[in-house]
Amino acid sequence: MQDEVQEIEVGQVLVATGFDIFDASAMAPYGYGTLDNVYSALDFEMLLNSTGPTGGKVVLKNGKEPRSVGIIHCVGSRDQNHHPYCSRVCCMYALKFAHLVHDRTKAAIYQFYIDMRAFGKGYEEFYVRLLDEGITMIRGKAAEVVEGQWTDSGDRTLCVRCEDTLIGRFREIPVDMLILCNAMEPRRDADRVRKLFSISKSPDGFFLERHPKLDPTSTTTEGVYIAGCAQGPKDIPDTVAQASGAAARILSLIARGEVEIDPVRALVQEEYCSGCRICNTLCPYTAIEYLEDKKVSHVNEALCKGCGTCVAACPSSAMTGQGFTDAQILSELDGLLV
Amino acid sequence: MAFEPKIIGFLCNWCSYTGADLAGVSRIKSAPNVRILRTMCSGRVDPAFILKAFQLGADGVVVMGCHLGDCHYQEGNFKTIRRIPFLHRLIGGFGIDRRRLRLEWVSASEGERFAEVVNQFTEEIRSLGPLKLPVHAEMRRDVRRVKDLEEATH
Repeated sequence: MQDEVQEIEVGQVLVATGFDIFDASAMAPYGYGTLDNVYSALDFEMLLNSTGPTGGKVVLKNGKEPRSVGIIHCVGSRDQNHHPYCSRVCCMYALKFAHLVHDRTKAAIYQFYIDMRAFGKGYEEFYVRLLDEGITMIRGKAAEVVEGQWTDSGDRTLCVRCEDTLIGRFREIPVDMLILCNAMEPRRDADRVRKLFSISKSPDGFFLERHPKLDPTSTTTEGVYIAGCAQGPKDIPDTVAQASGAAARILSLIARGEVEIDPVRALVQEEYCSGCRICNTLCPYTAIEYLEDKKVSHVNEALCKGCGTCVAACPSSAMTGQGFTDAQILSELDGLLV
Repeated sequence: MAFEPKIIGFLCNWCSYTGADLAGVSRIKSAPNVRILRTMCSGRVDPAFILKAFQLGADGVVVMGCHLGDCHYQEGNFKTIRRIPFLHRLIGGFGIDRRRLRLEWVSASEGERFAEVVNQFTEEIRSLGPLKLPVHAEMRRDVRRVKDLEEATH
């Protein structure tokens, strides 16, 4: 089958372009890409998969079962050097990994965490259950991972150096396998997509919603909605909730059949318009046309977005920006400078 | 009493005004001297508004818009960037220091940058001192005249 480019005309767009995963090799001390048996969360997910390279068995590169597995949380998240935000999903999938490793091997499991954030429905219960399964929680950020000692069977272990803040000591934990919980980050091409739809981004680089509480699925561009990790890190239930909300918003407009537009529009007062046509070329939406018969310019209200560039440029003040008229702005100025 | 600059800030609705809002909700402290006037786009800022602001007693004027290429209206800020140098020459001719008019790009995510711009500009105006243009009652009547005219024609 041949790829083909199709042009489809649509009235509304839901941007759900997702996320990229933080490249853990940027944190060199963790040895991702340089040490054997250090996996990113996605690599490990593949290892767990029954259709994966090991058929779902948790084994080391040499085919042996690991005797101990370390899981490092917050790799790239909650880190001033990389991403200051919390990626939200890592705590829970780290627990899931621990549960599956516990289920499939006899390995001892160590979790290196900063804070446990088991925030969702049933999550705290899962965390407590995991504690009962006997995993070891070490509170503190792992500092580095180095090659450990040779074992009797001729293999080399890994050694996680970390601070255990609960006992106030530095510790060295030998593990056979290490899983890094990479941060979620904005997609590499997010800026291109953002400019395509002329939507904004928040300081973390994810797409910005119109209002963080009251309008979390729409954007500042009419007809463009966002959902999922494109808007910020979130887990599957949250994504489904947000996407359902966005879909409902879109459907409500389709069902109504007509669109309400902002009353902020430019308007030509024809009796003042000299027909100089300065405004015609300024409009980024080509919403202003010149009426040959009347010799005046005319604003197409459906195309006009109300930016007011033409209003500012009109030499005879024939162009009025509704909601932002010259008189309104000058009165504001007057009031501000009493 | 110590001199407190009166500054007018023309902020575009989509980037800078949202950025200012972000500075507020993030509780970032900034000088209270900038009095904000919201327009939909920095392209809406009529050069006459800026002159009027100086005429009505502003010691400084800052126009803030989206970064180039980020304009919500695609290219409104390109219109602004062409108007400001023209105004710089014009106010220079009136004997107003060019540093009293500034154009800055502040995006919706740059709350900290907003506060930085505001603080820095306020300090600059403070060091320049008051503008001391005579404010006549006539000028305020001017504003009212535009208002009356507009009301009459609608």
